[in-house]
Amino acid sequence: MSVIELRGIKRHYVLGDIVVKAIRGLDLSVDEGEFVSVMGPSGSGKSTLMNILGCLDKPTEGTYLLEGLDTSKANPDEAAEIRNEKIGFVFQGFNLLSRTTAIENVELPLFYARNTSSRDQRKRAIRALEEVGLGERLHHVPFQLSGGQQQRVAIARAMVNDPAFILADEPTGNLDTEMTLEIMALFQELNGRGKTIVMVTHEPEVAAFTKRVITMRDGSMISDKPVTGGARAADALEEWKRANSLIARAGGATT
Amino acid sequence: MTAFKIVEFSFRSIFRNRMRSLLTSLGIIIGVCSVIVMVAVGEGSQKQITKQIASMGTNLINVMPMRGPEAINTLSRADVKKIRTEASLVQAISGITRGSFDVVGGTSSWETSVMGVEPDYLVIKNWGVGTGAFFTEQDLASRSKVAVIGKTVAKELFGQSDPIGSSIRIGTTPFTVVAVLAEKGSTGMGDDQDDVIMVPLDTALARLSKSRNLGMIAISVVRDDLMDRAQTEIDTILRESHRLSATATADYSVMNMADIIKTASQTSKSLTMLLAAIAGVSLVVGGIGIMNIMLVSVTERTREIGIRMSVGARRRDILFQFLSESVILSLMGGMIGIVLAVTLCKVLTAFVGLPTSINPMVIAASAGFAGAVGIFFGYYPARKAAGLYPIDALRYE
Repeated sequence: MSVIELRGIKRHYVLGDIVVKAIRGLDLSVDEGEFVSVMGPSGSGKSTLMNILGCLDKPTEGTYLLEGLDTSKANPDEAAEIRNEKIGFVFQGFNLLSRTTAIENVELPLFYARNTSSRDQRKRAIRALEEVGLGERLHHVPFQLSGGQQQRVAIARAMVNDPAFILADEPTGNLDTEMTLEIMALFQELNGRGKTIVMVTHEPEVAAFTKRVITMRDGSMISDKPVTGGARAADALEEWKRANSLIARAGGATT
Repeated sequence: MTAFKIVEFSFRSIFRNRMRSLLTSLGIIIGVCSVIVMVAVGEGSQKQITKQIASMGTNLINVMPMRGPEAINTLSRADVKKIRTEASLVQAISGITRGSFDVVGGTSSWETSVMGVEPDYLVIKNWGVGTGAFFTEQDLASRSKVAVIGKTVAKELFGQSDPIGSSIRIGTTPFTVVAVLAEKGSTGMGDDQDDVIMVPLDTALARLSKSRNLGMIAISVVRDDLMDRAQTEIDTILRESHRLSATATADYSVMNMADIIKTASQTSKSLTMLLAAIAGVSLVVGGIGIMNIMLVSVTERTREIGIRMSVGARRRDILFQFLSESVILSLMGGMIGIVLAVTLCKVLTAFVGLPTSINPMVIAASAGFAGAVGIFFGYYPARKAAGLYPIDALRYE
């Protein structure tokens, strides 16, 4: 069964007299274990698509089945429940609560979940942080962490409820090359463990680390291709570090 | 999300902005504090007045002429005489006439209250003479021009020197000072009781008063528990004396101390209520302050609300979070206000000498009111927060 099943999705905004057709009919299905990137220039409708996938917005027309469940009819509270249980968000700007420790940030979705005891919450939050390699920084607040580390906290938060899929919106947009590679390596690792990931990006080199690339333009999907080559971000990261240290050494020799 | 967690979140965000939280609660702090202090001062002075009136003697009855535009003063010496001879329960009785006069004597002049009384008046008032001897029934009969002066008058006119035997002029009539009254202090309302001159009643009626009628008849009853009977007895005698039937409207009123206490405490109670109401307004203003800051806080934390919504917070989770924040803010303000009020009352009593009486009911009511203010004024901002769209909230910069 598909995790995500979009059928004939349209999303129109009415701005005064003008109707903006952000998405003009889109069909998409994503299976469990896939790693999909959505690409396209700004204005192509990818943000709208991501809002709909994240149950933050409702399509004007069409149905969206999430693990077979029709979300199109959900009221705002039901949508909140779906977001809580089935979707893990990772944002470009990290969107962590400031002045709140990593572990409390990761616990946040569990506060709003039903049927979790607080001891269980702690344990799950710690496990999620360990999975993203931040087991040593449980009690750091965001400003004590690097961008990459903040994004790891956000990823841990996205995974802590064991959602149907992780929805990442430009997760590397605010990161430098090394951190980007780190995050992509983490995503690949999580995907390798069976997590379904949908990622919106406009960087082809980032999309290259996913398994399937969907390209949008003017509200429609213009291509849907599997990624060939199977580049590993972990390898690229190694390469990058080696190259950097060579440059540093060479620079040191000349001066 | 459990209630406990909501309260924890609220406390965390309140303590994150300590200064702002304090300033936000300040309106409530001042409101609660002023309500409690106002009522405490009001009730305290009410108790003191009651106590002071009671300390004058609970066995006192005053007969006053009816007041009003059409009323004619008909209390006379004859009434006093009749009561004195016929009433069985009267211990002491004195007709009184009273006026304000410029008094010249010693080295200066002084405006004071001059009372024409009978010697029994000292018994009724439980008062005594400091130096000299009070005038007697003979002085009344002979209309002697003698005066007994209060401590304050003695000081104002004669300073340190002994006034006894000196001559003073009340209005245009010369009097001889025969005694100085013992010091009595001021009343609960702050009137100086020693600022007085007493002269024989008949002398006053003949020389000072424009009318032949009495301003008041003061009576003390033999025992406290006979007050009602004494009052009826006096009423009967006066009706006879004034030729009134038992059902006719009297042209005088007979009041005992209990009535006077009731009147006095009624007045101060209304005053207390008025003060409390004014202070209550400041509580409402404090509530508006909370609403203002909560609205700012909702705008400021739009992104946080967006994050919470994106990870699954329902509208009511957000609503309750902000609502509990404003309620906690106003309740904490209430607590601080109570502590401050209790301290302030202690200070007022200890250093200013103002009597205060803190009523636990008032504390409970103002704390409850503070909580209600928190809910009332917190609801609108909380609903605004809960009504945000997650997408807009997340994008908010």
